[in-house]
Amino acid sequence: MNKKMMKMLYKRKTAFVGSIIILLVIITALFAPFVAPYDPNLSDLDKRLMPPSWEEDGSQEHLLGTDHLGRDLLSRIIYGTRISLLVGIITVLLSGIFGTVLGLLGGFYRGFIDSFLMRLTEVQLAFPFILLALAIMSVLGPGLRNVILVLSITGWVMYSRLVRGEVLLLRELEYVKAAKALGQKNRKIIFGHILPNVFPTIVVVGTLRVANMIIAEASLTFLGLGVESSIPTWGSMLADGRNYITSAWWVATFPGIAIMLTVLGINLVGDWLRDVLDPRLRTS
Amino acid sequence: MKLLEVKGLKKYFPVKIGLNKTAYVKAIDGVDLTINKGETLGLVGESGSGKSTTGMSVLRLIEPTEGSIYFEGKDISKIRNREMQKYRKDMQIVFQDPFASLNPRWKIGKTIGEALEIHKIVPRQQEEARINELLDIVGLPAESKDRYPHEFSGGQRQRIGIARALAVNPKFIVCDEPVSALDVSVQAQIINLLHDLKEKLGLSYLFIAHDLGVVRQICDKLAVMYLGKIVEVADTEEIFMNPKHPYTKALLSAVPVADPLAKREEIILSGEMPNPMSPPTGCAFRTRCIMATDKCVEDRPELRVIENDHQVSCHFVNRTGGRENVQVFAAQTT
Amino acid sequence: MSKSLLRKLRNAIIVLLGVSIVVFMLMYLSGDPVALLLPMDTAPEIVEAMRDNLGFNDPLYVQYFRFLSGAVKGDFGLSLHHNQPAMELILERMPATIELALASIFIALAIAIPLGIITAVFSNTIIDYIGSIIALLGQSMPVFWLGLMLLYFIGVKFRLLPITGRGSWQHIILPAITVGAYTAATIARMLRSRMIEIMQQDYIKTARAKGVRQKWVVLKHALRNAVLPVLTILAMQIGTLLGGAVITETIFAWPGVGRFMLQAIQNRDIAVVQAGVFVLAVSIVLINIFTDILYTVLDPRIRYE
Repeated sequence: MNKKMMKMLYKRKTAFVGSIIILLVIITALFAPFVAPYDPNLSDLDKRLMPPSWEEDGSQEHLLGTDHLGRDLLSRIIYGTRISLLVGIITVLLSGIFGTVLGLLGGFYRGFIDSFLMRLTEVQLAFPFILLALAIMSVLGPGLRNVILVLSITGWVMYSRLVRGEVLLLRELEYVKAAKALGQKNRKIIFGHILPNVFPTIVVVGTLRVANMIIAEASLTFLGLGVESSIPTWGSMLADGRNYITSAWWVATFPGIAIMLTVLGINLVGDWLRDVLDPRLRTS
Repeated sequence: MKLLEVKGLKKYFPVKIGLNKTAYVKAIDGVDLTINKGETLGLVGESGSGKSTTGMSVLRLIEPTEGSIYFEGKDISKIRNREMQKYRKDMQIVFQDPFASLNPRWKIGKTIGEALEIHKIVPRQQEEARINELLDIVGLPAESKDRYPHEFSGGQRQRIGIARALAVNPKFIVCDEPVSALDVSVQAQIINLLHDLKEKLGLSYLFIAHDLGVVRQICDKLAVMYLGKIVEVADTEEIFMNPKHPYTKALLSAVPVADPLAKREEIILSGEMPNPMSPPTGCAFRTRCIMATDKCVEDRPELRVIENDHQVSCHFVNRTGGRENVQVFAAQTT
Repeated sequence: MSKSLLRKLRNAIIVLLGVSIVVFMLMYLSGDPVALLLPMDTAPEIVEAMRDNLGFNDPLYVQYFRFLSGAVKGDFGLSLHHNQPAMELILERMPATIELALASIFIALAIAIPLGIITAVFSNTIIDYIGSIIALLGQSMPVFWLGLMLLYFIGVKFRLLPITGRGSWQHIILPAITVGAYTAATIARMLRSRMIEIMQQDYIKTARAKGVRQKWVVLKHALRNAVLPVLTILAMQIGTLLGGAVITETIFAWPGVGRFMLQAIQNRDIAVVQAGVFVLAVSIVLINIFTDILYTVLDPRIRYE
């Protein structure tokens, strides 16, 4: 008993830390113009590639240093939170809704719809995500909107598989059969009885997926087929930093830490949510 | 007046085995039933006999493979869903598991209200009043409607299930082992409730159970089921006093009796119930029957009327094979 | 079991057909395929003639069948950029990618298994906290960032390992760690929680542990039961490991399929993209079938489905 309680407490503490991190990120994103010391696109070529303030050539003016165009790293990271959160949340919402609906329909009605859904899922899963995303991006062209589109299109599978599995179990429960016996319409059964009970699962997965989406966006931008370069994102900063890694390690390091911390925070909170809402999902 | 008449009902569940072969679990293999208005027919048998499947098939919660279901004279076995909607008002079900039969996220009021809304039983403004009434009928306080299922005990949840079934003003209710999951002390309350409701509201029941003691209190007639087939049908007391089918006798002999001096002969069945995927040829019961002969292997016995309203499916019903005349059950003293 | 095998194969074929359709459609998504083959200022009549010549004016399904029959034989046409058959180019680079994938699985397991076991055995102690945080960080790190960090700090600053290209066994270490880190972290965490679960159950069953020997038995038992989920995770990661190593291959200039595909995408070398995607998709489908079968062999519970 004692070990179990300690475990719950441990989770609470880490979840607490995680939620603080997320809160900080959100606040930073919302109040970026007030928090950032400089304009993220303001380039001062005199001050190119300055190291962080605690290094020899650094200055207090640029806490984390500057990039190859003399732009303040800290400000760019702060503004980067906006894109990351935006992309993360919107894509999860879009792909989540789409995937959930498909999963509900397939799992409830079975038959042809379900088989079709399963095959479609498998076809999509046969393609490595990155390649699929890259291929589509190369066709559509770079840009924030396209990135969101691509991530949503490739992301729905996660949800539909999970939801479908849940629905298969739920539809056998007696209260669903009772509703059917009462003559309730299928649509109302799905959205009134089944969906509310699938919801916790979706919330948990959705939360964790925000983290994946943030990394995915950064990856695409890093490879040059993501968000346009005029918008400061962590991915593009890493892409820039790559070229200067040997001379100016900080340009790539700090954005990466930002990503890592954000994702860490999300993972911690997501884990806790999972323990609270749906013990069946545990893979860690 | 016949409320429900079932003829030749069959339900085979396909099961894939091997490369291209499909076997069938013959859950129901030719069942005939009749329930008159105001009557309660008990359907008894072991687990796996097909009783629950029968109950669900009659309401078309499971689609029958074959057979006709006549409700108030009309065959509803194959009508389309839209048409079936109308009958849903008249035929309801109470489930066995009080924990799974209510949506855990819905307040009780919403659960019962759903029934009212689907068929527009009462106008919106009167919904709440009607819910209060229904709760009162089943013996629960009106405040219950704002609570969640997990706040109630098993017996209370069963009452809620009954209230939900009553909400649409049905004529016929399938009670699928409604008390099997409850404590013995609670069982009696629920049975009494069901009995009272039957009298007050003029309901008819198909009462499914595996406990013979329970059915005696509420059922007018009994049908005994074995491996998807009905083996005996008669008035309840007739079955208890004068069972004909060997299986029925075995079932009865297992029921405990209050009188320690009553002369009883316990019949112990050998073997187990065969696999419904490959039922024995001829009479399904022959593998465990002491009277089985070659005829039982070849000929499947039909349900035949032997006395007024007493039907049996066995080749040796009129034979006095020694065990026939033993009175297996003491006369009911209540 | 052969019935389910047949069903899996049938499904796989349907999936592969779906894949082939998508790959086929890729050709059209990036604009006029004929225009891409010719220099910019070609006269329109010549473009039209080429179009007819190459069969692009035929009805869609005819073109698809042509594509499919070619694909089945491994013929995807010539690479625009390299003037060699696309398939050849892809196959030339597959060994490198496979090598990287295997190496990363090896490293992932080498890290994850000890980490998972140690954190499970010493659960709720300082060792566990540190180990779990490492695992969490591993799951949260973006692949390319890890790659860059490793490249810089180990490769450049301290010059411990080489950072580009393929050659000796040292060349593969950094890329393999980069690719395998996430998998390692996931497996480690899962191993830990599974083992703890099982160990708790067993402790209850066996009342008091009768000394070291008993604990050892419990440990082995817990480990054995955690094998299957590990396989699950590996199977899920296969897609990432094969085609998804694009990023790592790019950072470390590893001559694999992923990096090649990225270049092809940037060059609009459609034949290569088609060939590469097709090959990877087929590999993934086959591996999935294989893992499925492995499952049914290893987990007797699933067999009676």
